[in-house]
Amino acid sequence: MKYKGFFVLIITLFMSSQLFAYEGGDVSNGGTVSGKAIFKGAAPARAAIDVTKDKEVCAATEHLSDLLIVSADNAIKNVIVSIVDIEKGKKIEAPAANPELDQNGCVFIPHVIAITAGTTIDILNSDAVTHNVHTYPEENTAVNKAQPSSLKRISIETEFGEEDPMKVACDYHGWMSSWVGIFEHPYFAVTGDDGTFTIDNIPAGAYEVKAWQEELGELVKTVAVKAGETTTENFEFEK
Amino acid sequence: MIFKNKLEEDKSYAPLFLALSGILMAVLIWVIVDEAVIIRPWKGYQKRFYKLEKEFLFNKVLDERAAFEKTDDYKNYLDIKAKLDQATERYNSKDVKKREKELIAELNRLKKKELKPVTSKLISARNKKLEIEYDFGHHPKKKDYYLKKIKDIEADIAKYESQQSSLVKKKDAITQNISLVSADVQKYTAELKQYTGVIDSIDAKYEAVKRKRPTLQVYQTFIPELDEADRCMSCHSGIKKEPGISDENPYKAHPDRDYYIGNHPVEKFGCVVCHDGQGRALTSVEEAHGEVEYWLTPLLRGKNAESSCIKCHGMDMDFEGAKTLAKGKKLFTEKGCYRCHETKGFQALEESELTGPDLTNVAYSTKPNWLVAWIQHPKHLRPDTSMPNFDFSRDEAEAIATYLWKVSEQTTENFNSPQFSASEIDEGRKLFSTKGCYVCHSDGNEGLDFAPNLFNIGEKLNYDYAVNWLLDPKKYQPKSVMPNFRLSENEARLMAAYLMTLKTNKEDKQQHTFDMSLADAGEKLIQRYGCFSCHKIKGMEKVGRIGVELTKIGSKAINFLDFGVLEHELLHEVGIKYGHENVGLTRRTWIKNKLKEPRIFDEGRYKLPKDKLRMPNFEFTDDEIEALSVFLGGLVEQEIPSNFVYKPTEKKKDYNDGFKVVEKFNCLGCHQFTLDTITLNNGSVVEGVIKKEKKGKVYFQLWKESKEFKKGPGQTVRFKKDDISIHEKGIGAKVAGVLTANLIKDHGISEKEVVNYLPPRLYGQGQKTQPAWLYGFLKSPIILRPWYKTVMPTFNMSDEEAEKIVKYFAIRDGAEYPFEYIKEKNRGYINDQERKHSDYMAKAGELFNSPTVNCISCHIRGDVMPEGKPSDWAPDLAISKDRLKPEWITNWLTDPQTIQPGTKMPTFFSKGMYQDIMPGDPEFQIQAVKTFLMNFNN
Repeated sequence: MKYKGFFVLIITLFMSSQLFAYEGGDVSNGGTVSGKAIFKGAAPARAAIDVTKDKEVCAATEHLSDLLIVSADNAIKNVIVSIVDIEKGKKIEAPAANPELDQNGCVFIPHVIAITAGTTIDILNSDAVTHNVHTYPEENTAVNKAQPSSLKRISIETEFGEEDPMKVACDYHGWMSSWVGIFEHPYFAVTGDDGTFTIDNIPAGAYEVKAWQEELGELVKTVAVKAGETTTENFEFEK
Repeated sequence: MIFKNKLEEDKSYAPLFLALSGILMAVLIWVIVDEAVIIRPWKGYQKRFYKLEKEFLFNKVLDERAAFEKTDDYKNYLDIKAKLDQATERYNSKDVKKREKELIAELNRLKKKELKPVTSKLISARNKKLEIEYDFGHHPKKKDYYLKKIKDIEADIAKYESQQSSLVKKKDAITQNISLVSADVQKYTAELKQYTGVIDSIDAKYEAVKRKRPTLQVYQTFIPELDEADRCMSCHSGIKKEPGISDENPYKAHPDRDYYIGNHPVEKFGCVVCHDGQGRALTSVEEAHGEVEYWLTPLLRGKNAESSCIKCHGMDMDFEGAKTLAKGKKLFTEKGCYRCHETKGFQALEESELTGPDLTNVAYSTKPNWLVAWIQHPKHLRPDTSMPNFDFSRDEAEAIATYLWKVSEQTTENFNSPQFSASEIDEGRKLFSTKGCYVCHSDGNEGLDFAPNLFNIGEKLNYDYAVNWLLDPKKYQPKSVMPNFRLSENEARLMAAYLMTLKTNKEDKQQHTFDMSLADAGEKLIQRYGCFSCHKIKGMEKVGRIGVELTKIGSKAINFLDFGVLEHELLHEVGIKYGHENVGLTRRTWIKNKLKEPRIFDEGRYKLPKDKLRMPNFEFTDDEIEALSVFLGGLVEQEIPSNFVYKPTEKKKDYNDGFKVVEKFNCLGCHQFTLDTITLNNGSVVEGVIKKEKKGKVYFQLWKESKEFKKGPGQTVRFKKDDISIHEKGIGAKVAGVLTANLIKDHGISEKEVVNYLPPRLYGQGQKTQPAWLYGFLKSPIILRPWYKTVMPTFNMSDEEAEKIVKYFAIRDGAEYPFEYIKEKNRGYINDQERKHSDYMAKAGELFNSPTVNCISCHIRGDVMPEGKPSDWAPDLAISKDRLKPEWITNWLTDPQTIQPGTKMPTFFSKGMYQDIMPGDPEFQIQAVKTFLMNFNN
């Protein structure tokens, strides 16, 4: 029928946006969740990366493994903390510039980032060797592109939120990896050197908060967020 | 008498005449009523049908309108309608009407008063000129005089022509103005039509039937080739019309109308050719349906009509519309019915395959205890076996086993298997779990049921035989489809050790020995029950069949069907008393009872043992009996003219033939052949594979472009699970789930990497590999991916079978077959490239080997293996020139993700790269690398 095509178009447009959308708006008197990722037990030392290939470039400076970074006072770096499937809250703000993952000395810097779905990530190659950008998403489209040193920048588009962070690796150099948390809402944080995180401007209510670390797995806690107050919630990981 | 004693003149015959005329009248009325109503029941049906049709159209118009009013288009429609109303109003206003009138008057005046006189002057001047031109030629002396005249008249013509053209211009301008007056009205009317076109056409149909009901008449299809006159549609008036007019018989449309009637137009085929019955009869429903005494072909109701497909489509069919029939044919084939009962169309199969195993080495392969128990009750030992139950006593089974033992070529005394350590058995189990055994066999817990279930195989098999059998299945069972996995002797040993543990009773039993004096009795039993029909038994290869021929069972006369003493009882169950009341039903009843309980007709009769029925019991389910009965019902004696016989196009035939071979070797067990196709509620269709389902949402990886989502192959789209209206699963890769689990469990392969260990998808295979290579590969597979745990076995296909599969892929994927010119291998082409681009091949080679591209860092190159762990390797490039099609290599190098989403192969080429090695755009570089590969010499 004549009007069917039009109908299909409308529904298709709806499908890709509205039906799955997070609803962003102004949050008045929102609450905050903050805390720290703590390692239970003796802090493990970081081993040096065993470079097996392209040693003249990759082993020029010694790199320590980024898989698990625990400070002397047991704070864990690079833990992605997020609110699980929150549907409504503060506005998503697009970053001013694309976040970057730099392949420098055959490691990814930074090792872990978190972004909102739809953000484009730029993968840089600062090394004099060829890398191979290979993403392992479960929801998004996978990318697998060679990046010789002449190709300084590869942009990777994201579209959907990932249930677990997406691994970005280089197939040439098996030890190289980084992780990108991708969310369809703006409530997430990555712990710094001191292991702390803060997620603010959350509408009051009970939420599941998930902390994820590549080696230690994930911890999920139910947190009650009160209007205008800060709730402290620490995540204690065990190996 | 009343007229006694009366004079003739006084007699009155009036009462008599009255009575007689009364009778005559009554007869007349009866004749008319009978003629008009009683023997024409179809008239009533037709009348009611037209009434139903009228109601249907009426409601449909209303529904369509109501539905339209709910759409977003309706708003547009109303907008345009409002505009039309305004335009009409403007058009109808006094001023506009007046202006239109004036313009028309002006136009008419112009045509009549100005244009017409000029045109006629022009015509006469032209004629005059012709006349003078004639004179000029015939009066040479007056040349000058006529020349002057010609010049004059030419001037006139030019004058008139210019007058005419200016007038025509004027006329066009006025016409233009006139149409401008009503332009809006016309424009909007046309626009509205776009919205209401469908509704209007239904409405027009409704108006037509409302005005006048179609005349009642006998609808007849005459098919001269069959001498068949079908009048069925006189009552079944809605049979080829659109569905929905009525769901009530006889008014409803043919089920699946577009499929059945669409492929078999009533005008050509009629009804009876498929449904039987008495097509000419109109006087009663029973007569028309042929459900009357002695009519040889009564109506085939429901699924029984599928029987008729065989008439034109032959045995080689598997149609969407004949599923029951196809199931029946499959059963008939698999259970080997044709082995005891000669049946036309199965001779070829009889030669190439064996329904049961070859028993020439049974005394070596099988443990004695199992053999006797098996002969007595096969299904007790393996419930899904095809071997039927012969109802043998223990002694009979013992005797048969003894004979088989006696004639066996290879024998053994020792049925105990050697002792194996638990780790060896586990090693065997791992081989079993991932080599590919589960693709055909189940161990009772997992695996497919393509070949015998092995849950109790340890009870049956002799260890020594098992090892040899695994090493070379064809040696003992030349007609078996079991392929050769090219196992090492040690692997076969370990796997056999594991198989020996598959048994319900774990202890080794004392195997009994046979008393050879029973062998003669066994031989007689084998001859009587025809074991040699399905099994190869030494010395009985040439013995004839023991069953009745079934080629024409579907039209066999019912007096040849011996019900024994059960005729009345069995016929009573289906609602008739005597067989001749409904010949078809009687035949079906006999067949079904025979299939259900093959020796039932012996019941209650005195018979010598040698005369007793001997067909074994296959323990068919009711569904299976139904399917077999439909199939057997189709084996009839009827010649069909050749123009009715289905002739598939050569392509279609080759495609079907190829797919049969694919099914024979269970290729679908390992390989995915087609993609998942999902139709969403909004009508959009996506093809690819489901990546993930999460919280009611589906993440779907496209393998084909989707216009609706504006995304190409390799990309992921997301939709709600509830939005799926049809999910057509891709066929093949049946064992993928089991294999994945076992690879992870038994070989420690990670979940992310396991995809690199699964048998390749064969989507687009025809476009990928060169036919000759694929043919050779099928005949004798090589290891393409050395890291695989699962093996492409050697099937020992015949040349014909391998060829059929290659052809199938070519047809399916629209590839060239059998020859393809590969220009890249031609010296002339290469020289040409070298002339145009200096050091073409050398540079391509440099690119191939450069540290940045470095193909061989992952790809195998002949016998040179790459560094790193085998799971990171990729197929051998030394064979690419024979294996791959150049076009495919180009596409592959351009963007591997679009051809095989999820592949490990990265995209290497993009603009501006490798300029130091081979300057040029990516297309040029890819062409060069492809040409290099097509000439790659290790």
